[in-house]
Amino acid sequence: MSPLGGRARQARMLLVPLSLIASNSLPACSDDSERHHEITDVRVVENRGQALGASSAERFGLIDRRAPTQPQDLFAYEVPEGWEQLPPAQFRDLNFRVGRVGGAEGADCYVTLLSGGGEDANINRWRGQMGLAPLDDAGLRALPRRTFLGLEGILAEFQGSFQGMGDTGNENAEDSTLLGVFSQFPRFAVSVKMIGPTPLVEAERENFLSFCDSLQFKTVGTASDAPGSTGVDGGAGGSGAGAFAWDVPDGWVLGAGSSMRLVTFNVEDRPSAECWVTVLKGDAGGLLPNLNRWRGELGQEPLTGAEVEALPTIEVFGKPAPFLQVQGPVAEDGRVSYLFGVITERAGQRVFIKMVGGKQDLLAEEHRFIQFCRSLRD
Amino acid sequence: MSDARSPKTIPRIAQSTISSMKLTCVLLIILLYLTWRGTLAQIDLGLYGAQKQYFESFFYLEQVGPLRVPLPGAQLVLIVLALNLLVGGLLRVRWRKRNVGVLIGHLGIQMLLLAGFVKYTFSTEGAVKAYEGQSHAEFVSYHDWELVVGEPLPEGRIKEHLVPDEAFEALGQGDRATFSSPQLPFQLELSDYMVNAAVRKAGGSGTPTRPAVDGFYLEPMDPQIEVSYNQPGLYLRLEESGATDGPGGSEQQGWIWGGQREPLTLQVNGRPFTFDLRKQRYPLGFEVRLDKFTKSEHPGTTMARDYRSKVTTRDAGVEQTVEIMMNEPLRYKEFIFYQSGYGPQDPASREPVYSVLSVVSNPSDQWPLWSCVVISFGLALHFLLMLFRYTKNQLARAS
Repeated sequence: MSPLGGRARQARMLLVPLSLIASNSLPACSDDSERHHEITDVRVVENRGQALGASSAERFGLIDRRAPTQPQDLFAYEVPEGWEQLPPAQFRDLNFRVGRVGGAEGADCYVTLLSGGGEDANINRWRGQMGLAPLDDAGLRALPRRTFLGLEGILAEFQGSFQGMGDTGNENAEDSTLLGVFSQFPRFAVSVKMIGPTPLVEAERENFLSFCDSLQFKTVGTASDAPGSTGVDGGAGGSGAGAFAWDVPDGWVLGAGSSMRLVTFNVEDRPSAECWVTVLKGDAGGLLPNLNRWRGELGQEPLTGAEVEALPTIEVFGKPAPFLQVQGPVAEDGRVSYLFGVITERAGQRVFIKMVGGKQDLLAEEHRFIQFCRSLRD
Repeated sequence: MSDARSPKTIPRIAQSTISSMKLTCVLLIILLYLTWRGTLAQIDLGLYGAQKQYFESFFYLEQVGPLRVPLPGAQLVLIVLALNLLVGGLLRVRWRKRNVGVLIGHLGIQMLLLAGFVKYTFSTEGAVKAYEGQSHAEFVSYHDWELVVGEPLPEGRIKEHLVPDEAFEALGQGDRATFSSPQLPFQLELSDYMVNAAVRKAGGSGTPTRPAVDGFYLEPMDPQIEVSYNQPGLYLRLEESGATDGPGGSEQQGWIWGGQREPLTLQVNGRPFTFDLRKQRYPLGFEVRLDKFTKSEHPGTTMARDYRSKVTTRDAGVEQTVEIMMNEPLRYKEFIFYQSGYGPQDPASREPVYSVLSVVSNPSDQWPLWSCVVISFGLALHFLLMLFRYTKNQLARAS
């Protein structure tokens, strides 16, 4: 095994020639021993805002905003016998009714994906809902712990007079019990709460705990060789005055962009072609100067205002936008650069859609570029 | 000096050759050539590529007409030059009072070469991109990548298990390496490293060249001349420790990409683990906060005339505020912070203003300065001794 550190990289690089000589002169080690490493470099850091459970489409920036991932889609779980699953509601990403039979009082049980607040604040909020005073640090630290979603979560059980909101008839009910687990993740938290009459909650305690144990984030990254298994074909971006969405044409793939670009696409089998979207605040210099700047990039003379008005248009965000096509000079190697450009306005912003590449590649992608521009929407 | 009367044995011939002034001249000419050639090569290879090929190599292949001729790289030339100066300048030179200045001068040059070696071997370089009010306790490498296995902990922390790219950058298609840790409940197998990769959707117009996972796969792209634009990719397969092989769900796999927006998350024994490919990060051991970034422009243009960052270091509760500007870096502990950039470059951009500080950790940072002092002292002493001898001889003749 070879331990791996972080900073002695270059020192080891100097030893490469020596190790090559040694490896040729010594009896050969087995491949297994040469290719197995032990990970020794470990550090504990604050979370930098990474999200857990992102799908491949989300990771690679191809999210379909029209069908956003719902919090309840993140979880896999087993519903205990006698529990009835209800549609998600506000603050209830998974929502269950427990033990209400024939009009008798039941209990609420629900899973909530929280964006923040922290352990202490949320546990004391629960106590407030039960009409109990907040716990101090020592009291909070003394709460029992239970493994929940892979973390050492808090298991809380508070009895009191429930003063929260619900639809089970338990509101402002005395002799209620709140049974909950809470795990704080780096960027979010997950809680499961059951609230209801104390005898019922106590009777459902084992079911509650087994439900919590069964709850897992859905695993992504399961191998699949089935083509097109994702079904994801769209994307989304933008901020400030509101995000917007688009459809990704067939054969276009997310490419390496830059901080200036909202999104960049490469085209399969057409390596010269690249398309990207940039959004700038305000007028961003105006339509005519920007179109002429693009013409200048390929060595072409500027257009007049009348010539721009005569350009063909594409409907983008419901408005016609001039569609610029520029051909560059023939290069020494015979290649000809080509450019498609569309500039439009949207909510006080300028949206620039630009595609560059070789002439043949771009002309072959013209219909997809137009299709992409037309697909942009709020 | 060699003794002309001594027999010519192999050690003496070797010593004579390695200490030869002619060798010094040849080596210096080669260094000049490499500097010229490496500078021109930046057009095609970029700064990083040219540096690797011409200056951080023992040999490189030079295209001469139809032939590829192996030529020495700067690393080899500098090692031989150090030996040449050591043997010729310090060991062979007679240690007399009249030569003391020359000896000190040679010692200074050796210090200079040693400073270069220490920097090459032990220094780390990267940058901090900070928005106003933002603090950083680490800096990010320009070129080196790492695989990070993240283990979420309570209270918003993550335990990161780090694998530097040197451990997997040689893994081509079909090559595999395994990684494990007593702290992790699984073994990782890495393969198919790509220096620059693009994401492909299975079922697109092209034929998949790699296995698709969750509907996507990565495909190699030509490396970029500007190395920092590369987005590497890697295939990982995870096998739970103690799990039996076979189709029982004990194995999971996925593609990770340098450009991915979120890490890959895999569940092992009900616990989430994240897998990310990112530029290497080096801890500072203290915090640097950007308080204010200011920029002035040449009149009538958007060209920066001057830009500077007011930063506060916070180390063990002690705060210190300084201003970093061009040619006035902050030196703190083993780190040097240079003002190297800012953004956004486009004033119409929606992104808030940020400052880019280059960070260098170089144990031999001040050695070139001291080397120059030693060389200057040695030369000055030598010239003074020569002048003293000349004056003394002239006075002796006159009397």
